[in-house]
Amino acid sequence: MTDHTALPGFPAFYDARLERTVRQVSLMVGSVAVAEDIAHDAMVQIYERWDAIDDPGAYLYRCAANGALRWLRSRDRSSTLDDEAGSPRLTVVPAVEFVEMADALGRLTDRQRIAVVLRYYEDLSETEIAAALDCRTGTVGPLLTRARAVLRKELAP
Amino acid sequence: MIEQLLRDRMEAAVTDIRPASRLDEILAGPPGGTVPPPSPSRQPPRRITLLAVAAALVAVAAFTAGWLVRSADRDTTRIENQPATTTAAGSTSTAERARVGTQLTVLTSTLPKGVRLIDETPTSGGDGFSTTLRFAAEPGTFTGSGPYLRISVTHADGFATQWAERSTGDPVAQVQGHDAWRSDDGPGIQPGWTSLSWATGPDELVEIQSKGVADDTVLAIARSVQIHP
Repeated sequence: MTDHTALPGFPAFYDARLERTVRQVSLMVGSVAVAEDIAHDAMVQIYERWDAIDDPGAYLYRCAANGALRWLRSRDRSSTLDDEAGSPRLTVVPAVEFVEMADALGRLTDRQRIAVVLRYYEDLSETEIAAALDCRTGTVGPLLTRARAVLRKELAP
Repeated sequence: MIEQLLRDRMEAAVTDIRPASRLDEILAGPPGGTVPPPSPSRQPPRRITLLAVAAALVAVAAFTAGWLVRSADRDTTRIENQPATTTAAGSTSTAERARVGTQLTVLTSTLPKGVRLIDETPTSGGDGFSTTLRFAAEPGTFTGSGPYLRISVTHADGFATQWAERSTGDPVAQVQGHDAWRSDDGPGIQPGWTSLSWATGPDELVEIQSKGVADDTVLAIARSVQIHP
């Protein structure tokens, strides 16, 4: 069990990566409230394994992507509303741009959403995306190609 | 290029998201060393759930952006929605526009010193619409010590009636002849924030969430809110 004193380096890592991670996951799941929870859980996982992780940044991508995928696969209407209700951001209405983008990303499959956010928001390579999604590198290209085709129509001016 | 468009749109979409740090919570480490994952089984109080349902309904559907009109020569802040900039959910067209939201008047003399209107977000969906105004001394993350205010008005058929029926406890005050309830520990309220809410009719609910603002001040603000359909 982890000794719950601040592990060297973890607080700085947390401060540096939290905001970006929440934003990234918000795009993946279409909800800031859910994203905050997923990001928090990912950070907890990293904290628990801090001494054993070689690349916490890459591990964070993987934890966040897994958390987003789990949520996307298990969500239903009622759980979405409950999660929003449990969020401290209940009445913080999302920006118009966020809703439009989330709506467009919502046209994609779960894995396409994750891949496209990691590629175009986080600027990860296909190899890094494959690591985050725990799939072969060759799988990522077709995911992105199909996602772009959908989004091109959704976001056309 | 679609790639650059995606980069730009994603960056713009999330630029206002500024999560509060929960580092202390992690470092403190609850028993067992892990934090339970988000659970769909969390059951917030009914009134909060109802608010969340309404917020989600209006948020997931069409969103509109309004222009803020501030009157410089009056002692009120008047918010008037202009034609929307987006249309129904599922459409990215901006050709068809619809008016949503409502007009609010807040007596600025009731606001804490230095606090001013930061932004306004009118929203609409198939079941109703709402308008949320945020006030602070400076634009920012709304995660500091305040003073912050968020005033929201939600319209939906029967919404306020259901809310009133499910409210528990006694009202803390009367706001323009309506019973008002205060809450500060619901799961839908940020730590350190307080909610004051009242129904103005069967279909309309007003809520003021505040942080770093005295209850009496919030009540004075509440009593100054005027809604113009």
